Amino acid sequence: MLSRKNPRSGAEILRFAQNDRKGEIWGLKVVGYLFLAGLGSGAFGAAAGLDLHTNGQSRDLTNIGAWIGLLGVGVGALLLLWDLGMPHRFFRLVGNKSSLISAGTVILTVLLVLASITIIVAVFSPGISPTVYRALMVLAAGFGLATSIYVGFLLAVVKCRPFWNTPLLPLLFVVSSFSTGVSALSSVASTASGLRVPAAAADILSSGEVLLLGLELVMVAFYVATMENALPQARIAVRRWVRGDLAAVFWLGIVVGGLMLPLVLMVAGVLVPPPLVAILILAGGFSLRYGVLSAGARSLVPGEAQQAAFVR
Amino acid sequence: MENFVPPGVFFTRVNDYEAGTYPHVQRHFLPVGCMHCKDAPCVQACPSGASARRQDGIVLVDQNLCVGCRYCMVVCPYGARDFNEESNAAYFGPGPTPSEAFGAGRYPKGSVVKCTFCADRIDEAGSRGLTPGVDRDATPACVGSCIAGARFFGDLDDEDSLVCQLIRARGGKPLQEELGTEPSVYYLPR
Repeated sequence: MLSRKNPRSGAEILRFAQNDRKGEIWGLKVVGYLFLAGLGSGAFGAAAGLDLHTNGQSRDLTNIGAWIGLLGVGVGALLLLWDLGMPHRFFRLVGNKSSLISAGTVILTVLLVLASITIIVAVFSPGISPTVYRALMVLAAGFGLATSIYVGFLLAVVKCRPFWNTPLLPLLFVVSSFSTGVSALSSVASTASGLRVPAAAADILSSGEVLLLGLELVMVAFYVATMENALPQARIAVRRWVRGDLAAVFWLGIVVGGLMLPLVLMVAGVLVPPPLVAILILAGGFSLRYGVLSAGARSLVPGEAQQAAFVR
Repeated sequence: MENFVPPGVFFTRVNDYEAGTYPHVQRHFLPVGCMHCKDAPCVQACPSGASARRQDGIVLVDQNLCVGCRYCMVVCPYGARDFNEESNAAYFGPGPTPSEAFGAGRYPKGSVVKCTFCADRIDEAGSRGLTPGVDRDATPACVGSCIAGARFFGDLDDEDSLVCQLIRARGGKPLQEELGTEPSVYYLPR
Protein backbone atom coordinates (compact mmCIF):
# COMPACT_ATOMS: atom_id res chain seq x y z
CA MET A 1 0.00 0.00 0.00
CA LEU A 2 0.93 3.64 -0.14
CA SER A 3 3.44 5.04 2.28
CA ARG A 4 1.79 5.64 5.64
CA LYS A 5 4.45 8.19 6.56
CA ASN A 6 3.12 10.66 4.08
CA PRO A 7 -0.60 9.97 3.67
CA ARG A 8 -1.29 13.39 2.23
CA SER A 9 0.71 12.81 -0.89
CA GLY A 10 -0.66 9.27 -1.13
CA ALA A 11 -4.22 10.57 -1.03
CA GLU A 12 -3.35 13.19 -3.59
CA ILE A 13 -1.80 10.66 -5.89
CA LEU A 14 -4.83 8.41 -5.50
CA ARG A 15 -7.17 11.29 -6.21
CA PHE A 16 -5.16 12.21 -9.24
CA ALA A 17 -5.19 8.66 -10.53
CA GLN A 18 -8.94 8.51 -10.09
CA ASN A 19 -9.75 11.83 -11.68
CA ASP A 20 -7.09 12.18 -14.32
CA ARG A 21 -8.95 12.03 -17.59
CA LYS A 22 -5.71 12.16 -19.52
CA GLY A 23 -4.78 8.99 -17.69
CA GLU A 24 -7.56 7.31 -19.62
CA ILE A 25 -6.51 8.12 -23.11
CA TRP A 26 -8.44 5.19 -24.51
CA GLY A 27 -12.08 4.94 -23.50
CA LEU A 28 -15.02 2.59 -23.86
CA LYS A 29 -14.60 2.07 -27.59
CA VAL A 30 -11.17 0.55 -27.06
CA VAL A 31 -12.46 -1.46 -24.10
CA GLY A 32 -15.18 -2.76 -26.43
CA TYR A 33 -12.59 -3.63 -29.06
CA LEU A 34 -10.34 -5.48 -26.61
CA PHE A 35 -13.35 -7.44 -25.38
CA LEU A 36 -14.99 -8.22 -28.73
CA ALA A 37 -11.75 -9.07 -30.50
CA GLY A 38 -10.95 -11.39 -27.61
CA LEU A 39 -14.39 -12.98 -27.73
CA GLY A 40 -14.21 -13.46 -31.50
CA SER A 41 -10.68 -14.84 -31.39
CA GLY A 42 -11.67 -17.18 -28.58
CA ALA A 43 -14.69 -18.38 -30.53
CA PHE A 44 -12.44 -19.28 -33.47
CA GLY A 45 -10.12 -21.11 -31.13
CA ALA A 46 -13.04 -22.99 -29.58
CA ALA A 47 -14.51 -23.87 -32.98
CA ALA A 48 -11.20 -25.11 -34.37
CA GLY A 49 -10.54 -27.12 -31.24
CA LEU A 50 -14.01 -28.60 -31.45
CA ASP A 51 -13.55 -29.54 -35.09
CA LEU A 52 -10.32 -31.35 -34.26
CA HIS A 53 -11.71 -33.02 -31.16
CA THR A 54 -14.88 -34.35 -32.74
CA ASN A 55 -13.16 -35.03 -36.04
CA GLY A 56 -15.50 -32.80 -38.03
CA GLN A 57 -18.69 -34.21 -36.50
CA SER A 58 -19.85 -30.89 -35.06
CA ARG A 59 -19.98 -28.74 -38.16
CA ASP A 60 -23.18 -27.00 -37.00
CA LEU A 61 -21.43 -25.74 -33.91
CA THR A 62 -18.14 -24.82 -35.56
CA ASN A 63 -20.08 -22.76 -38.10
CA ILE A 64 -21.70 -20.87 -35.27
CA GLY A 65 -18.27 -20.41 -33.72
CA ALA A 66 -17.11 -18.86 -36.97
CA TRP A 67 -20.12 -16.52 -36.97
CA ILE A 68 -19.40 -15.42 -33.40
CA GLY A 69 -15.78 -14.97 -34.43
CA LEU A 70 -16.55 -12.83 -37.45
CA LEU A 71 -19.10 -10.71 -35.61
CA GLY A 72 -16.86 -10.19 -32.58
CA VAL A 73 -13.75 -9.32 -34.52
CA GLY A 74 -15.67 -7.33 -37.15
CA VAL A 75 -17.63 -5.17 -34.73
CA GLY A 76 -14.49 -4.77 -32.62
CA ALA A 77 -12.53 -3.55 -35.63
CA LEU A 78 -15.32 -1.08 -36.46
CA LEU A 79 -15.16 0.27 -32.90
CA LEU A 80 -11.43 0.72 -33.33
CA LEU A 81 -11.90 2.63 -36.58
CA TRP A 82 -14.55 4.79 -34.94
CA ASP A 83 -12.14 5.59 -32.13
CA LEU A 84 -9.50 7.01 -34.49
CA GLY A 85 -9.17 10.79 -34.59
CA MET A 86 -9.04 10.59 -38.36
CA PRO A 87 -10.76 7.38 -39.48
CA HIS A 88 -10.38 8.30 -43.16
CA ARG A 89 -6.63 7.83 -42.78
CA PHE A 90 -6.99 4.26 -41.50
CA PHE A 91 -4.79 2.89 -44.27
CA ARG A 92 -1.86 4.67 -42.65
CA LEU A 93 -2.13 2.33 -39.67
CA VAL A 94 0.33 0.00 -41.35
CA GLY A 95 3.04 2.59 -41.88
CA ASN A 96 5.61 1.54 -39.28
CA LYS A 97 7.10 -1.93 -39.09
CA SER A 98 8.19 -1.50 -35.49
CA SER A 99 4.76 -0.39 -34.27
CA LEU A 100 2.63 -2.95 -32.50
CA ILE A 101 -0.47 -1.24 -33.86
CA SER A 102 0.79 -1.74 -37.42
CA ALA A 103 1.50 -5.40 -36.71
CA GLY A 104 -1.89 -5.73 -35.04
CA THR A 105 -3.66 -4.13 -37.98
CA VAL A 106 -2.10 -6.69 -40.33
CA ILE A 107 -3.05 -9.59 -38.03
CA LEU A 108 -6.57 -8.26 -37.61
CA THR A 109 -7.04 -7.76 -41.35
CA VAL A 110 -5.87 -11.29 -42.15
CA LEU A 111 -8.17 -12.63 -39.43
CA LEU A 112 -11.13 -10.71 -40.87
CA VAL A 113 -10.41 -12.03 -44.36
CA LEU A 114 -10.07 -15.60 -43.08
CA ALA A 115 -13.25 -15.24 -41.03
CA SER A 116 -15.17 -13.96 -44.03
CA ILE A 117 -13.91 -16.82 -46.22
CA THR A 118 -14.89 -19.34 -43.54
CA ILE A 119 -18.40 -17.91 -43.36
CA ILE A 120 -18.78 -17.76 -47.14
CA VAL A 121 -17.68 -21.38 -47.37
CA ALA A 122 -20.01 -22.41 -44.54
CA VAL A 123 -22.99 -20.70 -46.15
CA PHE A 124 -22.48 -21.35 -49.84
CA SER A 125 -20.59 -24.62 -50.07
CA PRO A 126 -21.42 -26.70 -47.04
CA GLY A 127 -20.20 -29.76 -48.94
CA ILE A 128 -16.59 -28.58 -48.93
CA SER A 129 -13.93 -31.14 -48.03
CA PRO A 130 -13.53 -31.44 -44.25
CA THR A 131 -9.77 -31.03 -44.60
CA VAL A 132 -10.05 -27.66 -46.32
CA TYR A 133 -12.68 -26.54 -43.84
CA ARG A 134 -10.51 -27.63 -40.94
CA ALA A 135 -7.47 -25.91 -42.41
CA LEU A 136 -9.46 -22.67 -42.65
CA MET A 137 -10.69 -22.95 -39.08
CA VAL A 138 -7.24 -23.72 -37.71
CA LEU A 139 -5.70 -20.82 -39.64
CA ALA A 140 -8.39 -18.46 -38.37
CA ALA A 141 -7.84 -19.77 -34.84
CA GLY A 142 -4.10 -19.15 -35.22
CA PHE A 143 -4.63 -15.54 -36.27
CA GLY A 144 -7.24 -15.23 -33.52
CA LEU A 145 -4.64 -16.32 -31.00
CA ALA A 146 -2.20 -13.82 -32.49
CA THR A 147 -4.86 -11.11 -32.13
CA SER A 148 -5.54 -11.84 -28.49
CA ILE A 149 -1.79 -11.94 -27.81
CA TYR A 150 -0.97 -8.65 -29.54
CA VAL A 151 -3.74 -6.71 -27.76
CA GLY A 152 -2.21 -7.81 -24.47
CA PHE A 153 1.28 -6.83 -25.56
CA LEU A 154 0.00 -3.48 -26.78
CA LEU A 155 -0.51 -2.64 -23.11
CA ALA A 156 2.21 -4.81 -21.59
CA VAL A 157 5.08 -3.08 -23.44
CA VAL A 158 4.21 0.34 -22.01
CA LYS A 159 7.03 0.84 -19.51
CA CYS A 160 5.66 3.99 -17.90
CA ARG A 161 2.39 2.29 -16.89
CA PRO A 162 3.44 -0.28 -14.29
CA PHE A 163 0.00 -1.88 -13.93
CA TRP A 164 0.20 -3.03 -17.56
CA ASN A 165 3.92 -3.59 -17.79
CA THR A 166 3.92 -7.32 -17.11
CA PRO A 167 3.87 -10.44 -19.32
CA LEU A 168 1.03 -11.67 -17.10
CA LEU A 169 -1.33 -9.28 -18.83
CA PRO A 170 -1.18 -10.82 -22.34
CA LEU A 171 -1.48 -14.26 -20.74
CA LEU A 172 -4.53 -13.16 -18.79
CA PHE A 173 -6.09 -11.63 -21.90
CA VAL A 174 -5.51 -14.81 -23.90
CA VAL A 175 -7.12 -16.99 -21.23
CA SER A 176 -10.02 -14.56 -20.91
CA SER A 177 -10.44 -14.52 -24.72
CA PHE A 178 -10.72 -18.29 -24.79
CA SER A 179 -13.04 -18.42 -21.81
CA THR A 180 -15.45 -15.85 -23.31
CA GLY A 181 -15.30 -17.51 -26.74
CA VAL A 182 -15.86 -21.00 -25.36
CA SER A 183 -18.71 -19.93 -23.12
CA ALA A 184 -20.48 -18.07 -25.92
CA LEU A 185 -20.27 -21.17 -28.09
CA SER A 186 -21.19 -23.48 -25.24
CA SER A 187 -24.33 -21.54 -24.41
CA VAL A 188 -25.41 -21.72 -28.05
CA ALA A 189 -24.67 -25.45 -28.09
CA SER A 190 -26.92 -26.11 -25.13
CA THR A 191 -29.83 -23.90 -26.13
CA ALA A 192 -30.17 -23.72 -29.89
CA SER A 193 -32.73 -26.15 -31.22
CA GLY A 194 -32.37 -27.95 -34.51
CA LEU A 195 -28.60 -28.19 -34.22
CA ARG A 196 -26.76 -31.47 -34.35
CA VAL A 197 -24.58 -31.32 -31.26
CA PRO A 198 -22.63 -34.52 -30.52
CA ALA A 199 -22.42 -35.33 -26.82
CA ALA A 200 -18.64 -35.25 -27.04
CA ALA A 201 -18.80 -31.62 -28.24
CA ALA A 202 -21.08 -30.44 -25.46
CA ASP A 203 -18.91 -32.24 -22.90
CA ILE A 204 -15.61 -30.84 -24.04
CA LEU A 205 -17.08 -27.32 -24.22
CA SER A 206 -18.44 -27.34 -20.70
CA SER A 207 -15.34 -28.90 -19.18
CA GLY A 208 -13.19 -26.44 -21.15
CA GLU A 209 -15.31 -23.63 -19.76
CA VAL A 210 -14.75 -24.75 -16.17
CA LEU A 211 -11.05 -25.27 -16.71
CA LEU A 212 -10.56 -21.84 -18.28
CA LEU A 213 -12.56 -20.08 -15.56
CA GLY A 214 -10.51 -21.76 -12.85
CA LEU A 215 -7.27 -20.87 -14.59
CA GLU A 216 -8.39 -17.28 -15.07
CA LEU A 217 -9.35 -16.95 -11.41
CA VAL A 218 -5.88 -18.10 -10.35
CA MET A 219 -4.28 -15.72 -12.85
CA VAL A 220 -6.31 -12.73 -11.69
CA ALA A 221 -5.28 -13.47 -8.09
CA PHE A 222 -1.66 -13.82 -9.17
CA TYR A 223 -1.80 -10.62 -11.21
CA VAL A 224 -3.22 -8.60 -8.32
CA ALA A 225 -0.68 -10.11 -5.92
CA THR A 226 2.32 -9.28 -8.14
CA MET A 227 1.03 -5.77 -8.83
CA GLU A 228 0.63 -5.15 -5.12
CA ASN A 229 4.41 -5.61 -4.86
CA ALA A 230 5.27 -3.56 -7.91
CA LEU A 231 5.87 0.17 -8.53
CA PRO A 232 3.69 2.81 -6.77
CA GLN A 233 1.29 3.36 -9.65
CA ALA A 234 0.63 -0.38 -9.86
CA ARG A 235 -0.11 -0.49 -6.13
CA ILE A 236 -2.49 2.42 -6.54
CA ALA A 237 -4.20 0.53 -9.34
CA VAL A 238 -4.61 -2.50 -7.08
CA ARG A 239 -6.05 -0.24 -4.40
CA ARG A 240 -8.53 1.18 -6.89
CA TRP A 241 -9.53 -2.36 -7.84
CA VAL A 242 -9.77 -3.79 -4.38
CA ARG A 243 -11.28 -0.90 -2.43
CA GLY A 244 -11.36 2.17 -4.62
CA ASP A 245 -13.51 3.53 -7.40
CA LEU A 246 -13.18 0.33 -9.45
CA ALA A 247 -14.11 -2.05 -6.62
CA ALA A 248 -17.53 -2.80 -8.13
CA VAL A 249 -15.94 -3.60 -11.48
CA PHE A 250 -13.33 -5.82 -9.84
CA TRP A 251 -15.41 -7.68 -7.26
CA LEU A 252 -18.82 -7.79 -8.91
CA GLY A 253 -17.78 -7.78 -12.55
CA ILE A 254 -14.53 -9.73 -12.62
CA VAL A 255 -14.12 -11.90 -9.52
CA VAL A 256 -17.57 -12.86 -8.26
CA GLY A 257 -19.87 -12.28 -11.22
CA GLY A 258 -17.48 -13.17 -14.00
CA LEU A 259 -15.51 -16.04 -12.50
CA MET A 260 -16.63 -17.44 -9.14
CA LEU A 261 -20.41 -17.49 -9.63
CA PRO A 262 -20.30 -19.16 -13.07
CA LEU A 263 -17.72 -21.59 -11.74
CA VAL A 264 -19.80 -22.52 -8.72
CA LEU A 265 -22.99 -22.81 -10.77
CA MET A 266 -21.33 -25.11 -13.27
CA VAL A 267 -19.35 -27.25 -10.86
CA ALA A 268 -22.30 -27.68 -8.50
CA GLY A 269 -24.50 -28.52 -11.46
CA VAL A 270 -27.11 -25.94 -10.51
CA LEU A 271 -29.78 -25.79 -13.17
CA VAL A 272 -29.60 -22.31 -14.61
CA PRO A 273 -30.16 -21.41 -18.23
CA PRO A 274 -26.75 -21.64 -19.98
CA PRO A 275 -27.15 -18.22 -21.64
CA LEU A 276 -27.29 -16.71 -18.15
CA VAL A 277 -23.93 -18.25 -17.31
CA ALA A 278 -22.52 -17.05 -20.62
CA ILE A 279 -23.79 -13.52 -19.96
CA LEU A 280 -22.05 -13.54 -16.58
CA ILE A 281 -18.80 -14.75 -18.13
CA LEU A 282 -18.95 -12.24 -21.00
CA ALA A 283 -19.71 -9.41 -18.58
CA GLY A 284 -16.69 -10.59 -16.61
CA GLY A 285 -14.52 -10.44 -19.72
CA PHE A 286 -15.72 -6.93 -20.47
CA SER A 287 -15.15 -5.87 -16.86
CA LEU A 288 -11.61 -7.24 -16.97
CA ARG A 289 -10.75 -5.11 -20.02
CA TYR A 290 -12.49 -2.10 -18.51
CA GLY A 291 -10.75 -2.52 -15.17
CA VAL A 292 -7.31 -2.98 -16.70
CA LEU A 293 -7.65 -0.07 -19.10
CA SER A 294 -9.08 2.30 -16.49
CA ALA A 295 -6.48 1.56 -13.84
CA GLY A 296 -3.40 1.76 -16.06
CA ALA A 297 -2.22 5.17 -14.89
CA ARG A 298 1.17 6.53 -15.84
CA SER A 299 4.03 6.88 -13.35
CA LEU A 300 3.97 10.54 -12.43
CA VAL A 301 6.70 13.14 -12.66
CA PRO A 302 7.43 15.29 -9.58
CA GLY A 303 4.59 17.63 -8.66
CA GLU A 304 2.15 16.24 -11.19
CA ALA A 305 -0.31 14.96 -8.58
CA GLN A 306 -0.16 18.16 -6.53
CA GLN A 307 -0.57 20.29 -9.62
CA ALA A 308 -3.63 18.32 -10.71
CA ALA A 309 -5.15 18.63 -7.23
CA PHE A 310 -4.44 22.37 -7.27
CA VAL A 311 -6.04 22.97 -10.65
CA ARG A 312 -9.22 21.29 -9.45
CA MET B 1 1.34 32.38 -28.43
CA GLU B 2 4.22 31.31 -30.61
CA ASN B 3 2.61 28.11 -31.83
CA PHE B 4 -1.11 29.02 -31.80
CA VAL B 5 -1.83 26.12 -29.49
CA PRO B 6 -5.59 25.60 -29.13
CA PRO B 7 -7.40 25.18 -25.78
CA GLY B 8 -6.96 21.75 -24.26
CA VAL B 9 -3.58 21.34 -25.90
CA PHE B 10 -0.33 22.20 -24.14
CA PHE B 11 3.25 22.19 -25.38
CA THR B 12 4.47 22.76 -21.84
CA ARG B 13 2.86 22.19 -18.46
CA VAL B 14 4.29 23.69 -15.31
CA ASN B 15 3.85 21.65 -12.16
CA ASP B 16 3.60 24.08 -9.25
CA TYR B 17 4.13 22.11 -6.05
CA GLU B 18 5.50 22.04 -2.55
CA ALA B 19 8.19 19.64 -1.41
CA GLY B 20 9.69 18.76 1.96
CA THR B 21 8.14 18.79 5.40
CA TYR B 22 7.50 21.78 7.61
CA PRO B 23 9.50 23.87 8.41
CA HIS B 24 11.84 22.85 5.61
CA VAL B 25 9.47 23.40 2.74
CA GLN B 26 10.24 24.51 -0.78
CA ARG B 27 8.03 25.58 -3.62
CA HIS B 28 8.97 24.13 -6.98
CA PHE B 29 8.00 24.95 -10.52
CA LEU B 30 8.70 22.09 -12.85
CA PRO B 31 8.04 22.65 -16.54
CA VAL B 32 7.29 19.40 -18.36
CA GLY B 33 6.88 18.96 -22.07
CA CYS B 34 8.19 16.74 -24.81
CA MET B 35 11.65 15.50 -23.80
CA HIS B 36 12.63 14.72 -27.41
CA CYS B 37 13.92 11.32 -26.32
CA LYS B 38 16.69 9.64 -28.29
CA ASP B 39 14.93 6.29 -27.93
CA ALA B 40 11.44 7.74 -28.06
CA PRO B 41 8.66 5.28 -27.20
CA CYS B 42 6.19 7.37 -29.23
CA VAL B 43 8.26 7.00 -32.40
CA GLN B 44 8.36 3.25 -32.04
CA ALA B 45 4.67 3.05 -31.15
CA CYS B 46 3.33 5.31 -33.91
CA PRO B 47 1.70 3.10 -36.56
CA SER B 48 1.64 5.72 -39.30
CA GLY B 49 5.18 7.05 -39.00
CA ALA B 50 3.76 10.49 -38.14
CA SER B 51 5.86 10.63 -34.99
CA ALA B 52 9.47 10.68 -36.10
CA ARG B 53 12.83 11.83 -34.88
CA ARG B 54 14.74 14.18 -37.15
CA GLN B 55 18.47 14.06 -37.85
CA ASP B 56 19.02 16.85 -35.34
CA GLY B 57 17.15 14.93 -32.62
CA ILE B 58 13.86 16.84 -32.59
CA VAL B 59 10.83 14.56 -32.35
CA LEU B 60 7.91 15.84 -34.41
CA VAL B 61 4.36 14.77 -35.27
CA ASP B 62 3.59 15.08 -38.96
CA GLN B 63 0.03 16.39 -38.91
CA ASN B 64 -0.51 15.09 -42.44
CA LEU B 65 0.16 11.51 -41.39
CA CYS B 66 -1.29 11.25 -37.88
CA VAL B 67 -4.27 8.90 -37.71
CA GLY B 68 -5.27 9.90 -34.18
CA CYS B 69 -4.98 6.46 -32.56
CA ARG B 70 -3.35 8.05 -29.48
CA TYR B 71 -1.04 5.11 -28.77
CA CYS B 72 1.81 7.64 -28.56
CA MET B 73 -0.04 9.37 -25.71
CA VAL B 74 -0.39 6.03 -23.97
CA VAL B 75 3.33 5.22 -24.18
CA CYS B 76 4.75 8.70 -23.43
CA PRO B 77 6.19 8.70 -19.89
CA TYR B 78 5.72 12.45 -19.55
CA GLY B 79 2.14 13.01 -20.67
CA ALA B 80 3.66 15.41 -23.15
CA ARG B 81 1.08 14.90 -25.86
CA ASP B 82 -2.48 16.09 -26.26
CA PHE B 83 -5.28 15.00 -28.54
CA ASN B 84 -6.79 17.89 -30.46
CA GLU B 85 -10.50 17.21 -30.16
CA GLU B 86 -11.84 20.53 -31.44
CA SER B 87 -11.22 22.09 -34.80
CA ASN B 88 -12.35 25.64 -34.03
CA ALA B 89 -11.72 25.94 -30.32
CA ALA B 90 -11.08 29.47 -29.10
CA TYR B 91 -9.81 30.49 -25.68
CA PHE B 92 -12.08 33.48 -25.32
CA GLY B 93 -15.02 32.34 -27.52
CA PRO B 94 -17.47 32.60 -29.18
CA GLY B 95 -15.23 33.39 -32.16
CA PRO B 96 -11.46 33.19 -32.49
CA THR B 97 -9.23 36.15 -31.68
CA PRO B 98 -7.24 37.60 -34.62
CA SER B 99 -4.22 35.63 -33.44
CA GLU B 100 -6.22 32.42 -33.21
CA ALA B 101 -7.71 33.04 -36.64
CA PHE B 102 -4.18 33.48 -38.00
CA GLY B 103 -3.03 30.18 -36.55
CA ALA B 104 -6.21 28.28 -37.37
CA GLY B 105 -5.86 24.97 -39.16
CA ARG B 106 -2.35 24.30 -37.92
CA TYR B 107 -3.49 21.30 -35.92
CA PRO B 108 -6.24 19.32 -37.61
CA LYS B 109 -9.06 18.02 -35.45
CA GLY B 110 -8.39 14.44 -34.42
CA SER B 111 -4.61 14.60 -34.47
CA VAL B 112 -2.06 14.44 -31.68
CA VAL B 113 -0.13 17.59 -30.87
CA LYS B 114 2.98 18.26 -28.80
CA CYS B 115 6.01 20.53 -28.32
CA THR B 116 8.06 20.96 -31.48
CA PHE B 117 11.07 22.68 -29.88
CA CYS B 118 9.89 25.46 -32.21
CA ALA B 119 11.41 23.51 -35.08
CA ASP B 120 10.47 26.20 -37.60
CA ARG B 121 12.64 28.72 -35.74
CA ILE B 122 15.53 26.24 -35.59
CA ASP B 123 15.16 25.55 -39.30
CA GLU B 124 15.37 29.23 -40.10
CA ALA B 125 18.69 29.43 -38.28
CA GLY B 126 20.63 27.89 -41.14
CA SER B 127 19.26 30.15 -43.86
CA ARG B 128 19.81 33.28 -41.77
CA GLY B 129 23.20 32.36 -40.40
CA LEU B 130 21.99 32.18 -36.82
CA THR B 131 22.94 29.77 -34.05
CA PRO B 132 20.15 28.02 -32.13
CA GLY B 133 20.49 28.65 -28.41
CA VAL B 134 22.55 31.77 -28.99
CA ASP B 135 20.48 33.90 -31.32
CA ARG B 136 17.04 34.51 -29.91
CA ASP B 137 15.27 34.20 -33.28
CA ALA B 138 16.66 30.72 -33.79
CA THR B 139 15.87 29.48 -30.28
CA PRO B 140 12.64 27.93 -28.94
CA ALA B 141 10.26 30.69 -27.88
CA CYS B 142 9.98 29.43 -24.29
CA VAL B 143 13.73 29.81 -23.80
CA GLY B 144 13.76 33.39 -25.05
CA SER B 145 10.66 34.44 -23.14
CA CYS B 146 11.44 32.91 -19.72
CA ILE B 147 11.68 35.97 -17.46
CA ALA B 148 13.91 34.14 -15.00
CA GLY B 149 16.33 33.00 -17.70
CA ALA B 150 15.86 29.50 -16.36
CA ARG B 151 15.78 27.74 -19.71
CA PHE B 152 18.72 26.98 -21.97
CA PHE B 153 18.90 25.52 -25.43
CA GLY B 154 21.80 24.13 -27.39
CA ASP B 155 23.52 21.19 -28.99
CA LEU B 156 23.81 18.17 -26.67
CA ASP B 157 26.21 16.50 -29.12
CA ASP B 158 28.68 19.37 -28.79
CA GLU B 159 30.58 18.86 -25.53
CA ASP B 160 31.61 22.50 -25.41
CA SER B 161 28.11 23.90 -25.82
CA LEU B 162 26.66 25.92 -22.97
CA VAL B 163 24.02 23.29 -22.24
CA CYS B 164 26.61 20.51 -21.93
CA GLN B 165 28.77 22.67 -19.69
CA LEU B 166 25.79 23.48 -17.46
CA ILE B 167 24.76 19.82 -17.24
CA ARG B 168 28.32 18.83 -16.28
CA ALA B 169 28.86 21.65 -13.81
CA ARG B 170 25.53 21.39 -12.04
CA GLY B 171 24.78 17.70 -12.34
CA GLY B 172 21.78 18.03 -14.64
CA LYS B 173 19.54 15.00 -14.98
CA PRO B 174 16.53 14.12 -17.09
CA LEU B 175 13.22 13.11 -15.51
CA GLN B 176 12.39 9.41 -15.22
CA GLU B 177 15.80 8.48 -16.58
CA GLU B 178 15.26 4.91 -15.38
CA LEU B 179 12.82 4.25 -18.23
CA GLY B 180 15.76 4.34 -20.61
CA THR B 181 14.27 6.63 -23.24
CA GLU B 182 17.32 8.92 -23.17
CA PRO B 183 15.49 12.26 -22.93
CA SER B 184 17.13 15.36 -24.41
CA VAL B 185 15.79 17.69 -21.72
CA TYR B 186 17.87 18.00 -18.56
CA TYR B 187 16.94 19.61 -15.27
CA LEU B 188 19.56 21.57 -13.35
CA PRO B 189 19.22 21.19 -9.58
CA ARG B 190 19.29 24.38 -7.58
